[in-house]
Amino acid sequence: MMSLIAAILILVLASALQFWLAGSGIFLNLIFVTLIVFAFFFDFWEMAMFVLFGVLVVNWQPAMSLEIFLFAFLPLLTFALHNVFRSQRWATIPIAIVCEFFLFYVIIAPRFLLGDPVAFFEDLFVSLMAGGLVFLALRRINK
Amino acid sequence: MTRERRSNIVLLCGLCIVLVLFILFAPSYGWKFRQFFAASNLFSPDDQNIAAENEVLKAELAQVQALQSQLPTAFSNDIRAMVYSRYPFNFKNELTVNAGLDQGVATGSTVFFQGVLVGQVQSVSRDTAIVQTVFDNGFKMPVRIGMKGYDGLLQGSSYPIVGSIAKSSIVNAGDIVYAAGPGFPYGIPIGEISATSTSADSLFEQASLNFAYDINSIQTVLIQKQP
Repeated sequence: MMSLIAAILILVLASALQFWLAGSGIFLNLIFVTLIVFAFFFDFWEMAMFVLFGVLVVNWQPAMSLEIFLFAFLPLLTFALHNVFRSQRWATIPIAIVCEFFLFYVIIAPRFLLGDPVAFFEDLFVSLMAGGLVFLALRRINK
Repeated sequence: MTRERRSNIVLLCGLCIVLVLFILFAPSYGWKFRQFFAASNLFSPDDQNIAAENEVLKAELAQVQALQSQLPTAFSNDIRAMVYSRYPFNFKNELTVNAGLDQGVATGSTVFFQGVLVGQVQSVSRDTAIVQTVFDNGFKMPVRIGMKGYDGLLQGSSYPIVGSIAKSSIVNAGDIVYAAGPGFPYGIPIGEISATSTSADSLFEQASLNFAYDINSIQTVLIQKQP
């Protein structure tokens, strides 16, 4: 229960930071990366709740979109696959983040990825750092 | 499965159902959550209003001097709309506003802030509309520049530029850029030239723009009602 409450706080903090930065024109995917890391620590129903919370706060229109579908689907895909590599979380989490960000960008806006690769790598770099922090926090709490 | 584990799953299922209901029937709570955490405005509302008013006056002056026969018409029946939410990723720049078909908004309607062009309605539902802003990568429109009305092409992005300006044009910082594209009322100001340079292919001039508003902090817009 302790780790669940901590995870909720981490997710709210990531949301607050993402929206605060977006208000200044800096768009990062902190909620998305937090959900990817959570996939390595929580069970299905906990993940479902986190993902639904993410969808509620990230969705910008009263309708479904490809972006929101991927935003929800990719962390759940990570969850489905994470048991294969569970023993090497410190290594698989960064790989999962890189793969899912690449998929996210390629599927939604391949031209954006080609036209502005620097923006992609900036987003990825910050997300890897944020993912590392979330991983360390959850590992400490779960000890 | 232990009793505690079972009760946890029931609790999580309940929370999931509540979240699904919010997503489907009350998404505005998510938007309110976002607005609560959004950064405070970099521009104060007063600064934005004054800057926008200044651009409108400059655009009017440019038209009076260069295009006397084509003065813009005043928009009398605009729809005022609140900005509900913004596209959350960096691929697009879109706003969700709280006016839709019921209020008379139609696809293609022009959206502006204090008389300055913000974008165009891209899709409409019953009581909301999605606005593609001039900061969207997919936004393109013909524009005119300054008192002489030099032609250019506005290309949307995080930092929009006006390209395809003939090399013979004399464009200076501070010149007003106004709309000259089909589907937009003629002469709506867009921004001011901040700097000019030669395009990568050296065939044209291009110019970066200053805007009278901060797209990340505007809270209300006007939508031109379709006749």
